[in-house]
Amino acid sequence: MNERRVAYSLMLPALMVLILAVIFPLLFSINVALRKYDLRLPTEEYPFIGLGNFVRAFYDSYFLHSLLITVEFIALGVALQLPLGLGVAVLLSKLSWRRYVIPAIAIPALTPPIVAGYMGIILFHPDGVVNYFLSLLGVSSKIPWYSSPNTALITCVLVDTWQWYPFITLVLLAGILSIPPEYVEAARIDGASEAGIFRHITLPLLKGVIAVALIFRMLEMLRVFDVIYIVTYGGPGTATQVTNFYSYLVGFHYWDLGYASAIGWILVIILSVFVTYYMKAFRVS
Amino acid sequence: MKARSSEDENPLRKKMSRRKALSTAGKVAVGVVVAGVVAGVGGYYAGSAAAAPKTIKETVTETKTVTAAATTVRETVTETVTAPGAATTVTAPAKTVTVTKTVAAPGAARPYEGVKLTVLCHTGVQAGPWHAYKEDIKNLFGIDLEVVEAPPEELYSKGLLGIKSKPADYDLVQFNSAWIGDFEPYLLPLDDYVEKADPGWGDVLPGFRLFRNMWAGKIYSWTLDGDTFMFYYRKDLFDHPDEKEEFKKRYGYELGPPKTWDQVRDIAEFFTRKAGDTLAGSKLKKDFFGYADQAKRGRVYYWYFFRWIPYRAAEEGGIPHYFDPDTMKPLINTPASVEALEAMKDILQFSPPGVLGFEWTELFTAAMSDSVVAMWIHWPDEGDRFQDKLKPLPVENPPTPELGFCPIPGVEKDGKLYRYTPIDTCWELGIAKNSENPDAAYAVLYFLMRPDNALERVMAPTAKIPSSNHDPYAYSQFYSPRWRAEKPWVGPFLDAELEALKSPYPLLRIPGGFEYLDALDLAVSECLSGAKDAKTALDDAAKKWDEITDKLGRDRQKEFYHKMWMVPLVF
Repeated sequence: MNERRVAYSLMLPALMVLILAVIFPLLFSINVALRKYDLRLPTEEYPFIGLGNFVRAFYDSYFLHSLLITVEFIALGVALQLPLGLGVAVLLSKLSWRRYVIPAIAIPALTPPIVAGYMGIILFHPDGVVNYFLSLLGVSSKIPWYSSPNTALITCVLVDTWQWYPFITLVLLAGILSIPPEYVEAARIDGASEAGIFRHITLPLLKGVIAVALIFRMLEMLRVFDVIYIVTYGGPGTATQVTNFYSYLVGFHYWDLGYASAIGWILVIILSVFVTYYMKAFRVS
Repeated sequence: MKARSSEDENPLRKKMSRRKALSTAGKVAVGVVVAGVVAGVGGYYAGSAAAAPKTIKETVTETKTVTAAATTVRETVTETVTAPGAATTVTAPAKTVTVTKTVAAPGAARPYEGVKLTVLCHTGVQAGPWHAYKEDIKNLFGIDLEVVEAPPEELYSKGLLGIKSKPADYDLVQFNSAWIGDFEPYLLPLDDYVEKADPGWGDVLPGFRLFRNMWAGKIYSWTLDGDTFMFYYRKDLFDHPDEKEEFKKRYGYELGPPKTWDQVRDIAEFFTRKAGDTLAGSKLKKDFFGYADQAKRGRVYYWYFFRWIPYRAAEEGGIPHYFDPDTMKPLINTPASVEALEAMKDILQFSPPGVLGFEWTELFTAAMSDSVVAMWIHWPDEGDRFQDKLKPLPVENPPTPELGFCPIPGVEKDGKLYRYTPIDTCWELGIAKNSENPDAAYAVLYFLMRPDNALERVMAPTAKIPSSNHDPYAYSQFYSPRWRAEKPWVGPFLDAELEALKSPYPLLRIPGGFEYLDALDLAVSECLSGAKDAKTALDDAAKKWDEITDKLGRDRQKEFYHKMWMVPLVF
C-alpha cells in the first residue's frame, strides 16, 4: 500500500464521523429550511417551498425585532465585558500572586448558564442582594430589574457579563504576559508613564488577542439562550426576545421546524459575513 | 537464607502482585461460572427426569385477585400449580390453589404473556406511577412495560412522531390535551373498549371528561392529572374582626371570599399596606400586597383567561367563544376582552414589585412562604400543601395561618353571575392507533385508571407511590373516605375544587394551540409592561391569530374548532 492510501485509510474513520455528526445534520437542516416542515400539518411529506421560509423571515416583525434585540444585547455585552475584562487582566498582570486569584475569577465561567440564570434571578430579585446594596447607597425604591421592560435586557447582559468577563480576562492576561518585557523596560527607560506604556505598547500588541476574544464572545452572545429562558423568557413583552430564543419558540413551541431552521441559517449567513469582515478589519488570520 | 514470615505461611495473608491477584480472581470467576452452568444443567435434567415429584401433604386454599382489562367478571377457578422447584414436566399436582380472579376471558390469567409495550411519559415525578405499577402490570397481565421518559418540551414532538410511525414506537402516550387536534389521527378511539370494560368513565368529572378526554364526540384519552385552578386567600386575614369591620365601613359590604373581579379589586386595594402599618391588629414588618398574578411572559395568558372568560361570557350572555365558529374570526379583542385586560393591569398596582417576573415559584413563595400577598390564583399545589407550607403573616403578633380557597371570581351583569373555572390543558393518556397490541395497551390503561389505582396516584405520596404530581379528577377521588381520613385537611379543599369544577370552561385545543396562546401571552405581557395599550396589544394578537389560522388552513381549523366543542354542554 502506498503512503497516500495509508493516509486516506487513516483519515477515513475521522471523515466518517465528520460526515455523520456534522455534514449530514447540516444538509438535513437545509432540507428542512426549504420545506413547509410544520409538525402540525397532517401530512407525511412536507412540501418543498424553496426560499419561502427565508423570505417570510424578512416580513416577520417579531424576527426583525429579535435581531435588533440581539444586536443590542451584543453591543451592551461587549461595552461592559471588554473594559471589565481588560481592566482585571491588567490588574492581574501586575500581581505576583495572581495564580491564587485566577481560579476564583474563573468560577463564573465554569458555572452552567442555567445556574447563572437562576443566580441572576436571586441577585436581581426586587428583594435581592443588588437592591439591598443599592438601598445602602440611598436608592430606596426596589428596582424590578428583570420584570421591567426598561431594565430587563440590561439585567440579562449583567448576568452574562458576570459569567463571561473572566473569559476575556484570562485570554487578555495571557496576551499581556506574552508581551516581551524588553519593550516595556525600554519605554520606561525612555521615561514613558504607565498610561503611555499601556496605550502605546500593551494595547497595540494586544489588538489581535482582543479581536479573537471579542469574536468568541460575540458569537456566544449571538447564541444566548439559557439566561434569557430562565430570567425573562423573552419578556416582558418582547423586551428580551433575542433571535435564538425566538427560533426556539418557533421550533419547539409552534413546531414550525422549517421556519425555525431558516432562522438558524439566516443567523449563520449573517455571522459568516460579519466574521469575514471583522477578521479583515482586525487583520486576524 | 531468608526466613519465611508468617505471611508466607498463611496463604490467606500472602501478598500478591496486582497482576497475579487479577489473574487469580479471573480464574475463580470462570470457575464459579463453569460450576454454576454444570450445576444448572445437572439440576435441570435432575429436575425433569430424575427428581421425584413433591408429595402432596395438604391442600392449600389461597385467594388472590387477578385483574385484566376486558371484563370485570369475577369467577373462581381451580388451578394446578406445580411444587416449588419442580420442573414443568411433573404432571402430578403438588398443591391445589383456589384462585379468585377477575379475568378478561375465562381461564386467561396473564392474558398478554410475552407482550412488550412501550409508554412515553413525562419525565420526573410524573413517571412515578409507571415505575411503581410496572411489576404489577407484569404480574397481572404478563406485559413487559418499557417506560420512556421525556421532558415536557419534548413530549409533543417525540410523542407525535412516535405514534405516527408504523408500528407505533409508543403503544401508550402521555400528552397534553391541547395537542389532541394534532394527535387525533394517530390515536385509538376508546369508546368500544370503554363499552366492554369501563374503569369508571362516569366517575371522571364532566369538565375533564368533556373538555379533555373527548374530541369530536369520541373518547380519545383518559385524564392522568386533573389540574384545577383555584382562588386562594388568607383566611386568617379575612376572618380578623378589625379588618372585617374596617372593610365594611369603607366598601359597604362584608369582607369575604370574592365572587366578582370588582370585589377582588376592592379587597386588593384594601389590604395593600406599607411596612409599619397595622394589619390583622398588629404592626406589619414588611410591605403587604392585596393580590398577585403569575405575570411573567410565558404563561401569563392563563391569568388573562381567568378574567377574559367571565368578561366575555357577560358580553355574550353565555359561554363565550374564542373564534366565531362560522368564520374563525378571533374574538379575543372584543370590547369586553379589552376591558378584561385593562382590569388585569389595573389590579397589578396592588401586587409586589417585580410581579411581571413572577412564575410559579415566585408566586408560591410570595404568597405561602413570605406571606405578603392576600389573594392569588394558582394550581392545586397550595391547597394540597398548605398544612406545612403556609407561613404566618409578616406582623408582630400573627394569627394562626389559615388558607382560604374558592372558585375563581366572575363578572356580574344584569343580576347574573358569570363564573367559570378554566380546565387546564393537562396530562392525558392515550393509545396509539398503530400499536401492535392495542388490547394489551388498553389493559394497562384500564389498570392505571381503575379507581383504586387512580386514587393511589392522586393521593401520592403513599406507600405505593412516593410521588406523582397527579391531581384528582374523578368523583371517587374527591369523595374518597380513605384520602379524607388519612389527610383530614384535604377534605375542605377537595370540596372547594368540586364546587369550582361545576362550571368548567375549556382552554383552546385546536392545532397550533400553543402558537395562538403564545401570541396572546405576548400581547398580555406587552400590555402589562406598558409597551402597548390593551386595545392595540389585543388587536395585534387577533391579527396574529388570523395569520396562524390561515397558515394552518382556515377550513381545517374551523373543523377542529367545531370538534373541540362537540360535547354536550350540560353540567
